[in-house]
Amino acid sequence: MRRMLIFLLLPILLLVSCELVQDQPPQGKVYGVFIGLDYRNTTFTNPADEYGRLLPLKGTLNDAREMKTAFGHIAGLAKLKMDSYLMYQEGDTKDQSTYEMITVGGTPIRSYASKANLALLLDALTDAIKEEDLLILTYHGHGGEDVLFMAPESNDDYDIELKVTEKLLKELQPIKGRKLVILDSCESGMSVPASESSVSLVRSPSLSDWFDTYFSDEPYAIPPVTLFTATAHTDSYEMGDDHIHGVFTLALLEALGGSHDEDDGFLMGTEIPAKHNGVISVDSLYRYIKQHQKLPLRTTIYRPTSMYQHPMTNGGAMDFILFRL
Amino acid sequence: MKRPLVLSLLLLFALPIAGGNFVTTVAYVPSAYLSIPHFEDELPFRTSMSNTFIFEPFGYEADTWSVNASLKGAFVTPSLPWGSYRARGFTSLGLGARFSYSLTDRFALFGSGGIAVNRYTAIEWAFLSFWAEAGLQYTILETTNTELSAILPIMIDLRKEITALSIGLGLRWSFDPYGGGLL
Repeated sequence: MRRMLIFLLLPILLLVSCELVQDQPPQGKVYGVFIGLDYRNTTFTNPADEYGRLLPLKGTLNDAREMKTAFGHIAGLAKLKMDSYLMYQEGDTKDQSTYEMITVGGTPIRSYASKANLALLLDALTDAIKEEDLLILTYHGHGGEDVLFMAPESNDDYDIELKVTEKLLKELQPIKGRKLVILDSCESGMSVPASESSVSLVRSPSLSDWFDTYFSDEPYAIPPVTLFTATAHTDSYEMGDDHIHGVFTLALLEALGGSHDEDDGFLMGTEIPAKHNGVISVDSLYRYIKQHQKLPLRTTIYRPTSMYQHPMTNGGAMDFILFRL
Repeated sequence: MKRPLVLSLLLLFALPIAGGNFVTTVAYVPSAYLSIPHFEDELPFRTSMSNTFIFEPFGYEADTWSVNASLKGAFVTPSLPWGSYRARGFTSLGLGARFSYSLTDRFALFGSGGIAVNRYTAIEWAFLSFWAEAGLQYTILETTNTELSAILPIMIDLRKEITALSIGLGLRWSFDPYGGGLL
């Protein structure tokens, strides 16, 4: 009888979960880097683009500016301090002196969104960001397969391609703390690495992929940088009449509680649609975007479309919690 | 035309084969699902809830033992939020086999195992897992054609990056509308 009782009590003992008996670890400071470019000052020809030249974009600066506002508001609701840096390129000038200076830990950096300035900013943040802090980097601009296009430094500067895996993620590596990179650009999901433990259904895995992933020797680890992208392998789009946004970013802003008013412009509300069980996580944002973005996620036989985009994020067992509200 | 044919076949297989000792079973097990990571995490394990539905279209019963083929669907919630991460929730569909042995008129021991495909609830990533289960079964109610039991299963879910321990208390209903089963 005693044995039976122990057997029945075992589930109750195990129900005393780790999460309920341990105090939450402290949340640190939030750092945000918001990058938006309109490409009016470049004649760079994208070899992968059928149109050749990087065409001007109308929504990217709105995207970057309003993302800065939205994340600042959420950090405030979560009672966290936030330092935000806007890096941008606007209009047809390449004269960096017209752009304001950003100061990080005593290092002055131009807010002009060139590769060199971004590298300087990330280098300066390496010293500032601590283990418990969160870094959110968002990019709104042209993209290609695992590549972003930054602003040219001069008329002769055609070295504006920023490789995501080779360069950007490596520059983020020495930065401590938790890191989220949000990319709203074409083919941005190509930068999301394959998971060691799961297969992407967006990338149509074969049956052998499932077994190969399970039985491979490569161990799973929580990704050092979480990627959250507008699209998998297709183009990403902009939408709007007077006030234009990237389709993905517009849904993301709404997920964070943002809305647009004809008179007052961009407003943040107190209701956060992506808040789920008291937290905003990458999965809760992803779920909201999938359900609310203005374009379909895929083309099908029943609903054929040439314009669709499917967001992507890292696979694996763990969801990244950004804010506890 | 294809769909009604498939549905008819499924229905045919779902019904207990007439005569003999064949039975069909449905079961529901709510349980605690403890994810023990194989990777570096902030906690030694994370806690989720699992709701498992089991359908065993074919079961053969002898005097003291029984064997069943089982189809299992499970809904595992995301873990309680703690720190910077939480375990993702997923839905699972598995195939397996179950064996049970009667200790007394009321008590029986059982074990089962199988393979499952799983899809994370929020994101389009999926994974494979294997599961094994053992537990105790207590017959609450028995009639000529049906049997209602309480089950206390302990399940191990073998995932690539996680070994999960699941402990629950469920109900299991076996029926044999044609008679001959449920000896």
